[in-house]
Amino acid sequence: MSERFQEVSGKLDMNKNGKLKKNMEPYLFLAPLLLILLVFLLVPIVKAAAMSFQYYYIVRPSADGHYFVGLENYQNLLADENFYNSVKVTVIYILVTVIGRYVLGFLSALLLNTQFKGRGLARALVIIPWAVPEVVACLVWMLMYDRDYGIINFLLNNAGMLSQNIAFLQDVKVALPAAMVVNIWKGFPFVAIMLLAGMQSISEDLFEAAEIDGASWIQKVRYIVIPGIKSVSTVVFLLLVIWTIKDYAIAYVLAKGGPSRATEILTIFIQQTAFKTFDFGKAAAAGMLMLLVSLVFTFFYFKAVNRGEEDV
Amino acid sequence: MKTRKTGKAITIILTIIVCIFALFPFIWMLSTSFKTNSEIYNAAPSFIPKEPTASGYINMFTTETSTFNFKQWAANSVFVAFLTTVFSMIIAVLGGYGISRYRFRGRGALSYVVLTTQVLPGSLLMIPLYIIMGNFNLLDTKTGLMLAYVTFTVPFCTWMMKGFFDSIPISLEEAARVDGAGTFRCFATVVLPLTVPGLVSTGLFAFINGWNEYLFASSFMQSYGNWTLPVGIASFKGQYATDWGTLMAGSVLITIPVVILFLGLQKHLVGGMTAGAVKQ
Repeated sequence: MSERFQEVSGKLDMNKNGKLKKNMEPYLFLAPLLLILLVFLLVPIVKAAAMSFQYYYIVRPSADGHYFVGLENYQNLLADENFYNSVKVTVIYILVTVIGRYVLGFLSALLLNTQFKGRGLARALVIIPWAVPEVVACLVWMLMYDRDYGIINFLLNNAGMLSQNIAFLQDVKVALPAAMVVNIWKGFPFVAIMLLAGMQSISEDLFEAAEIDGASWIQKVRYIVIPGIKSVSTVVFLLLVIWTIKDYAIAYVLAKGGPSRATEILTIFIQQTAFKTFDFGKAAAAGMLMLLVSLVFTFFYFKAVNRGEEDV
Repeated sequence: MKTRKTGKAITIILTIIVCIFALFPFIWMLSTSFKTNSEIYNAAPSFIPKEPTASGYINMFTTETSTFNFKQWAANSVFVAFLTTVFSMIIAVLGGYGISRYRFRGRGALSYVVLTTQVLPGSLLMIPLYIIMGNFNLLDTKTGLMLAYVTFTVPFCTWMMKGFFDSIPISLEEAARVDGAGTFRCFATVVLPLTVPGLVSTGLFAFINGWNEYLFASSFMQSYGNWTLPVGIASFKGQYATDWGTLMAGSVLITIPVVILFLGLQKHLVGGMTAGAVKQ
C-alpha cells in the first residue's frame, strides 16, 4: 500500500516537475525584463505618486524629513497661475504642432507616393530633420532666427515683409510660434514616412478602377487615400499627441521657457519646479497630472493599434 | 494628357519646396561651420563660404578649458550610449523572444505594460529617479545616466525585437528541436543568427537615443567633466554666444553619425514604430 502510494506520488512529482520546468521557461527569458520594469519603472512611479502627497523640499528638509501633507501639493499647484499658464501653453503647443506636422507630413507623403524621377532621393532627404538631434536643431534655428544676422530676417527683409528686424525668440508674441515652427520642421518627416507606408499598402487596383471611372486627383485622395490610411493616421495622430506632451528639449533649449514664460510648456514647469525651487513634491504632483492625461491618450492609442491588427 | 503633364510638374515643384524646407537648416549648419566669423556676422548672409575655414572644427578638438572639453564630452556620450545599448539589448533580446514565442499567463498584461512605458513622461520619472539615484550615489555619474536611459530604451527595444522574432517562422526552431537542440541552444544557434538585421537596427536605435538625450543628461549631470555632447554643446551657446562657426562645427560633428545611421535604418525604425498599425 505504502509502496504503491509512493510510486504514484513519485510519478505525480515527476509530472509536476516536468510541467513546472516547461512553465518556467518563458520566465527565464522574461526575468531581466520584469526586473527592469519593476526596479526602474514601477518603483519610481510609486515613489513619484507618494512624493506628490509629501512635503518634499530637497534643500529645505524639515525636522520630520518628508512627511505626508495630503493634497497640499495639488492644491498649491491649482492655486499657481504659472501652472495654468504652462497648461495653456502646452495645449496651444500640442494643438498647433500636431496639426502642423500632420498636414505637412500628409502632403509630403502624397507627393512622395507619386511616380517621378528622383523619388528615392527625395524620400531619403525628407527624413533628415527627424535624424538631427533636438539640441542641434535648436542651435541651428537660433542662428537662423537671430535678429541682426539671421538668415530668416534677411529673407523677410528682402521680400519687403518687415519694417524692422524681429528677435524671434526674445519677443513674447513670436517666441512660441517660432518654437512651434522648429517642432513642426523636426517632426513632420516622421508623419510623412508613416503615412507613406500606409499609402503604399493601398491596393493598386483601386486606383486603376478609379482611373477607368475618370476620377480626378482630388477624388482619388478623398475616396481612396484618406480611407486607406485611416488606421495608421489614427495611430500617428495619437503618437504625436503622446510624444508632444513629453516634449522638453526644443522649447527649453530655444527659449528656456521664456520670455515671460511664453514658451513654458508643462515639462519645463515641472523641471524648473524641481530643480530651481527644489519643491519636488509639487513637481511630482504636476508630473502625476501629466501622466493621467498621457494615459487617456494611451488608452485610445491601444484601441487604435488593436483595431489595426484585427484589420490585417 | 496635358493636365497630367502639368500635374507632374506641380508635384515635382512642390516636392522640391518640401525638400528645401527639410534640408535648409541642415545645409545652413554645414555652411556656417566653414565660415569665418566676419562672414557670419555679415548682415547679408552668404550660402557658400567665401573663404572656407576649418578653424571651427580645429577649435572643437583643441580647446580644453575647465568648462569646455569637446573630446571629453564625446567620450562620455560614446560611453553612455554604448552601455545603454549593450544593457538594453541583452534585456530586450531575451524579453522580446519570451513575449514573441511563449503563451504564458499575463502575456497580454505584460505587452500592455511594455507599450505603456513608452508614453511615460520623462519629466515625471526624472523626479523620483533623481532621489533614488541620489540615495545610491549615482547622480552625476555615467552609470546613473545610463540606468536612467534604460527606463525608456528597454521597453521600446523589447517591442522592436518582439516584432523581429515574430517574423521568424517557428518551424525552423521546431526542426532544430527535433534534432535534439535545447531551448537555449536553439535560441542562440538558430534564432539569433537570423535576427542579425533586427539586432543591429534595434541596437542602433538605443544608441541614437542615448546619444541625443537632453532632459535627463542636463538635470542629472552637474559637473562639466561628466556632460554628454548635447548638454555640452547647448551650454556652449550661453557661454560663448558669439562663436557660431565653432558651435556649428560641433553641431555637424554630433549630427553626421546620427544622420548616417538614420538613413540606413529608416525602414526598420518605421516597422518598429508602427507595431502592427500599418497593414503589410
